[in-house]
Amino acid sequence: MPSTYTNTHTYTKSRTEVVRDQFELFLRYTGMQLADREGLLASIARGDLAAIGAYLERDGFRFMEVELEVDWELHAQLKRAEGDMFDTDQPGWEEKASPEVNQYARQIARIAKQEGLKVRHWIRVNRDIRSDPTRHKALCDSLGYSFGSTVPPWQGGTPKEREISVLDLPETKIYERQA
Amino acid sequence: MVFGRSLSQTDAPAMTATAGWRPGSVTIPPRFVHHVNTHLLGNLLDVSDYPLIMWIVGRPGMGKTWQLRKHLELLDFEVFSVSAADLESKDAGEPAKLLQRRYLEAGRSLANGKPASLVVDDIDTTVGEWETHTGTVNHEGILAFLMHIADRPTAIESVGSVRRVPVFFTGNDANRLYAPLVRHGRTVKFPWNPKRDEKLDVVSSILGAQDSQKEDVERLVDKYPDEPISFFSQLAVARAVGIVSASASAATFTAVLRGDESHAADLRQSIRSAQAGTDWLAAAAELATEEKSDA
Repeated sequence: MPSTYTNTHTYTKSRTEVVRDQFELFLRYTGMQLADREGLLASIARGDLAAIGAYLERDGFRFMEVELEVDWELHAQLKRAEGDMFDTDQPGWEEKASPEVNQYARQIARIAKQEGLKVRHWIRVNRDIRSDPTRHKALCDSLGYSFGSTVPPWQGGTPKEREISVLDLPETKIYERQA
Repeated sequence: MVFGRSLSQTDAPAMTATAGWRPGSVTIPPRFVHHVNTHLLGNLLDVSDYPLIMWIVGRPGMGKTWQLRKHLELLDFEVFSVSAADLESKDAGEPAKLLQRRYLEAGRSLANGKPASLVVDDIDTTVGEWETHTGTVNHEGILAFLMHIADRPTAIESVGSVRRVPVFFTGNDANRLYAPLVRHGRTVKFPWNPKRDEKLDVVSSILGAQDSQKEDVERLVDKYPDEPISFFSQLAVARAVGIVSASASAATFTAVLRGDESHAADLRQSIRSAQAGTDWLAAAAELATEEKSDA
């Protein structure tokens, strides 16, 4: 007689690791190579970065962008309020990624592939580092980003923006912008 | 009596402490706006001894939730919501945790320069003190959290210092909430029952009545003085949808049910046309009769 086994797994991690995972998958889905991801993820884990954007440009203009943002202060508050452990075994989560990160990161990657374009990235440092130009520049240099550089302007002026809350991880938010 | 939808009421909204909004085609009564603004100001200025919570209570269908949310939206507030359904869970402690999470999120939004408030709709349905209520762990956890922030809006023991966030409850029964929570100093009770003039203004805007149709609206509202605002907003659409539904072909019906957007857009346009030509007094009589016969 065949026997039936039910296996269940609960993936419990620290809340900071889960935030880091969202950025890792965001970068991976949007085509960034492992070597380029490592420095950024170390900065995320230290709380140096507040957001990373992935965008597409055509003829020198941006026409689509997805930004993943983290509010470190809310993150710290939620850790104190709810404890540091976070269960990623939640409905819709796949391979450590929240459904929202999964959907929007893959979406821009798909459009890039369809249009034959490369996804480009920008970073935004946290407020403390931003207010200290020396530290800001040193961090940008160490990550291979140009300090004080700008991204291409939007095609047709101000883009349409949608704010998407990551339901299970409210300290992270996604912004989708389209020309 | 035939009211046309006015397209001239889409002017930019203007507000003073005593004047109401006229957003699009809908009016929010000045008295409602004034109470909500007072509560926002008292909290955002962190005025000592001003209550954290406003409990907007009144009969169903009087526009409490709709007006509150619309007004906050027009003020560009981010609304952090908890619905009555979220306040019960098979996992003990989760609802209180959710409420706390929303309060913290709203606080961070304020700290980042974006106005925010916490809104709990129909709170009396799950947190109310009902005869059959058995006092679940969730119920007690929610009350404990609310009592705590009502007394100390800027400090949560496990978290530390937080931003004070204006909190709004809506509900129907003024006597259902835990009395110590809704006492003076913790909660401002705002009973919402629109006066005749307020009702006339709101119904006029819902129906898109012109100034020349003021008397028609008065006749309509006075004929059904006990009906809530929702009665008049329903009659504004129910009959029009009924007319279009009756005249739609089976093929059109099937196309819409299968998600054909072009057919749906055509039908929506037909509904708008039917609405513009509706005899509202007849529609009201029809709705009232249907409800009586259903009962």
